[in-house]
Amino acid sequence: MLRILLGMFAFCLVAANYFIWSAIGYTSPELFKPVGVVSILSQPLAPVVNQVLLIGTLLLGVPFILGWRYQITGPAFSAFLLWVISYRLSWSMIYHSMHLVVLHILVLGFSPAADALSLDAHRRSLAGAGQEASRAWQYGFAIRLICAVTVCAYFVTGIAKVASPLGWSWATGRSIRSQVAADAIRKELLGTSGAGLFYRVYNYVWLFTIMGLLSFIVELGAPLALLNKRLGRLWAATAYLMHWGILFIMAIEFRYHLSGILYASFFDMERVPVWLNALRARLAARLVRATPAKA
Amino acid sequence: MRERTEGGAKVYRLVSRSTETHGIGTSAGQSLHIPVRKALAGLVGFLLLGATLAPIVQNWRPTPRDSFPFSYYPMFSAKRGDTYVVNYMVGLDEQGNRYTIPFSFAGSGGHNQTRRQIDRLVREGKAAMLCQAIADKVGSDAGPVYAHAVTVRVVTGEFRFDDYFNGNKTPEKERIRATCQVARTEQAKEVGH
Repeated sequence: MLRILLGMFAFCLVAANYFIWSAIGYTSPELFKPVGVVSILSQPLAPVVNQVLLIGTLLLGVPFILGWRYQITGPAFSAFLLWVISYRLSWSMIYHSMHLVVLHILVLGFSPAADALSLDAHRRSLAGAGQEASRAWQYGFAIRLICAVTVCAYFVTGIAKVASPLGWSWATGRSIRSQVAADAIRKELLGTSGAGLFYRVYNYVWLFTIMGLLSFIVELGAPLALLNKRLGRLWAATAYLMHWGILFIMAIEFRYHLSGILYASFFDMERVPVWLNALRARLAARLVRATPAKA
Repeated sequence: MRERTEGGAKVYRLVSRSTETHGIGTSAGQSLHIPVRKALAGLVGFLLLGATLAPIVQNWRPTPRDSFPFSYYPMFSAKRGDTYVVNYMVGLDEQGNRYTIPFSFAGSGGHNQTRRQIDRLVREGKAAMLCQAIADKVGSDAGPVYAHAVTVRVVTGEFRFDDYFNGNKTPEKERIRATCQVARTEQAKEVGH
């Protein structure tokens, strides 16, 4: 289930940005500043190669979601996604909203994430082949690793704020408000719609103090989410709401976070198909009972 | 932690249910390799978490370097005063009225990326080159919004937060980095009139 959800998000991310990411290939080479795996390049790729890689990523995304030939398509999609997003970020600006998508897909791509609800599982069942009982631990391990990577990333974000020249005073209302204000000004001056709500709340410093404190709790307290399931869910829900707050006040869209898919690993997603099957069975039973009564 | 380790068992039950539905048993082969596999997975997991946490050290470096997919997430940690300095573009018509020229005239990589590119070009003394490229695009833009723009400027403005968000959007200081005339294409002229 996680594979399907995360895979669909990653596929939609590339598909929705296909034209923008293709156009980036035509940017002046002077602005090329390779990051991550793209650092192996000293010059940008020919734009057509970038387009082919984007199309390749989309094509690999389909079997990833469907769980088809996953031993090959899982790692391949992860690697392609890592490359195309690294390349997209290699033009003087690193967007921090895409790091976790790629890390999560990398974990899933190299895990046995297509042993259920997949074409591979269906094919195996038709061929009469079973799963190794010894693989059970691997499913939970991948999910726990995704959770751990998520909380580590939040923790690093919190440390960056505390380690900045502002230190703990980052959480004071004026400081965080000036961060949001700078973002709003540059958005307006460069022709992007800013957050209308920010104008209304600008003079309420206490509101920004609450936001700052909440950010510190969510980010620096993130590792606590690994202590037990309940804490994990509480943290995930708080972080999720915080990102919606950021959207309303700052007009900053972290789509992966806002979709809630980022936090799916903290919940029993594997129960969803079981619930759906049970619901279907209950509805069918009710229909059977109701049919003679009507007759 | 006990509860969380049950996650794998639940997925496994789902897999088992799937195979049982189809009347298939599970094979118990290769169990000898479990400790080796677990050790390998543990090592990979440890390295991944280490790589995720490692960028923290960038916070204490004189010139920190951000990267992908492992970052030290420096967003919103810069120290800011009461004012903000920003590079942007304006269009002027014959009467001197100002128009905001959106970032899309300067680049194709989204708002923040283009902003960084504008900053970099201004910093490297290439504002004139940027200005000319924007003026060319404005000149060939057939839309009515920029039909009356005759001049494009790349400017650096300094704004006071309190003034700006209480209605006074005039920059405290503004420095013109480059000025270019807009040369209109015939198609743009027709639409403009």
